[in-house]
Amino acid sequence: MPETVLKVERHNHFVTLTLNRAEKRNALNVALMQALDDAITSIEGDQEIRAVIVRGAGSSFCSGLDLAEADRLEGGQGAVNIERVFHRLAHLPVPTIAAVQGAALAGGCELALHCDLRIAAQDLRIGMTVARVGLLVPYDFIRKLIEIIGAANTAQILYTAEPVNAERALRMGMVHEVVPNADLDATVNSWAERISANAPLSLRVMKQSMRRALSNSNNAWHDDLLAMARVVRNSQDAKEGIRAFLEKRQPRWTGR
Amino acid sequence: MADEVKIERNHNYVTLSLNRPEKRNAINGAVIAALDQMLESVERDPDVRAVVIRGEGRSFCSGLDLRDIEQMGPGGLSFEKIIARLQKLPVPTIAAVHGDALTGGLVLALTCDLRIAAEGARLGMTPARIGYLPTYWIFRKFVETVGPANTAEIMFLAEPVGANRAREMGLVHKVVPDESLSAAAVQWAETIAGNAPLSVRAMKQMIARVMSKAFEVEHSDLDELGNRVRNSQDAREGVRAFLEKRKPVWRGQ
Repeated sequence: MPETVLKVERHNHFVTLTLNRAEKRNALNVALMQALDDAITSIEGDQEIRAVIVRGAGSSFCSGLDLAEADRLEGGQGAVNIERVFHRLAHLPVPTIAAVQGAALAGGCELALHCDLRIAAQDLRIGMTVARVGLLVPYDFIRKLIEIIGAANTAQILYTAEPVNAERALRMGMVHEVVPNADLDATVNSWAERISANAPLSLRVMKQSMRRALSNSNNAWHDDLLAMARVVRNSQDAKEGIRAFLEKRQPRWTGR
Repeated sequence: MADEVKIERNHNYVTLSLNRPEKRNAINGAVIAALDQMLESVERDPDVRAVVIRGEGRSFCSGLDLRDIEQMGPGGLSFEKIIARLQKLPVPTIAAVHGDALTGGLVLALTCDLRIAAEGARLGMTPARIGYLPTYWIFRKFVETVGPANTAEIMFLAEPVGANRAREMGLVHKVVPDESLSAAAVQWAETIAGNAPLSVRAMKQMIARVMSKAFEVEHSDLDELGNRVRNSQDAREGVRAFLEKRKPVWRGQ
């Protein structure tokens, strides 16, 4: 491999994971998801780690799934499907912080949301654009949105499919703080340092307690919605949407 | 007994004032006992329609009196009992928060139905700094009020936030200039007391019921885990370092 798609840097008591496909605005492909999955495994086994930063190299945090490989990452099949890896990320035993700048779209937006905390640079554009290409957000990811920004804001994000800027994201509660682009790394490092200065046992049980407090809504029965999602994902419109996106033209919807 | 908490009956609402200003109204055994008695009297009085909780002096409440709590043993069960009683009070409760509202002090405010903050208020949960852990119930309360993302910020950073950030998070309903705090709390209490008492009491029950499911999630394992954290060497070190005003040394044990 010429250059690693995910850089893992160990600091004193925290780890920084850097998505490193800047030329693709850090789009998530199989190699990157596999690397993320591996990094999560090693963090899970390391009692010395007290916080994790997730950031993107270059001008954007993450533009979402690499559509060229989307079929291998979505829909619950492949070993590194996005739902499984993000679920593991959300359940990491230590606090996680996303540093988001530029585009954080679709899967990139969800990557940030599956962290516990989010710091945004001023030029952030964050959103779920999947309705534009006839795709669907997995049930787990919709639940995540509602968990963080509530049903009303989720409706805006999903239905308009338009990214929002950093200020709007702050007001929605999607990010905790907005800083100038030049200050993003320093701010997020400072959060990680401040968190890892706190008592590690407290932090780990706090995180578990919060997940449990939310668990009831996580257990809602939704097999029917999974089936519906499969239908949408396999529809002609979904294929047309991806094709149109890759060809940079307007899609033609048939509702099938 | 000295007046650790003052109770004042206005027309049809009651004001409870924490009254240990020299200790920034830290909650000790005497405060807990006084609050318990006063809440009981409010429960029995059908003419009370709202309760305001405030603090004398420069702060709302700096939390539990750590020296007292060390002597009370782990768990702080009496404080929990008071909080549970406050939560179940049949009438709306309003916290008027100024200065510090930290840890137990913030929990006290959060257990009220409504919170008004003075501009200079600082609100925060600092237990992670000393290796302590709030109970599951407190997490439930935070997640319910400000959502998991804001709860993560408050708990993991363990740094108090200012009134405006608290307003953004939904941690407080309203921010007013410091000198207007009492007037703002009185105004809300009077407005609420002016509404139909049966409606208001039933509404409070409705909201509690809607939120009740999440309180029923099994969490005895987390309680056990929590006790282990509270009894850990780190927790002892944290309290000691706090009292000695030095940085704690964490060992993860």
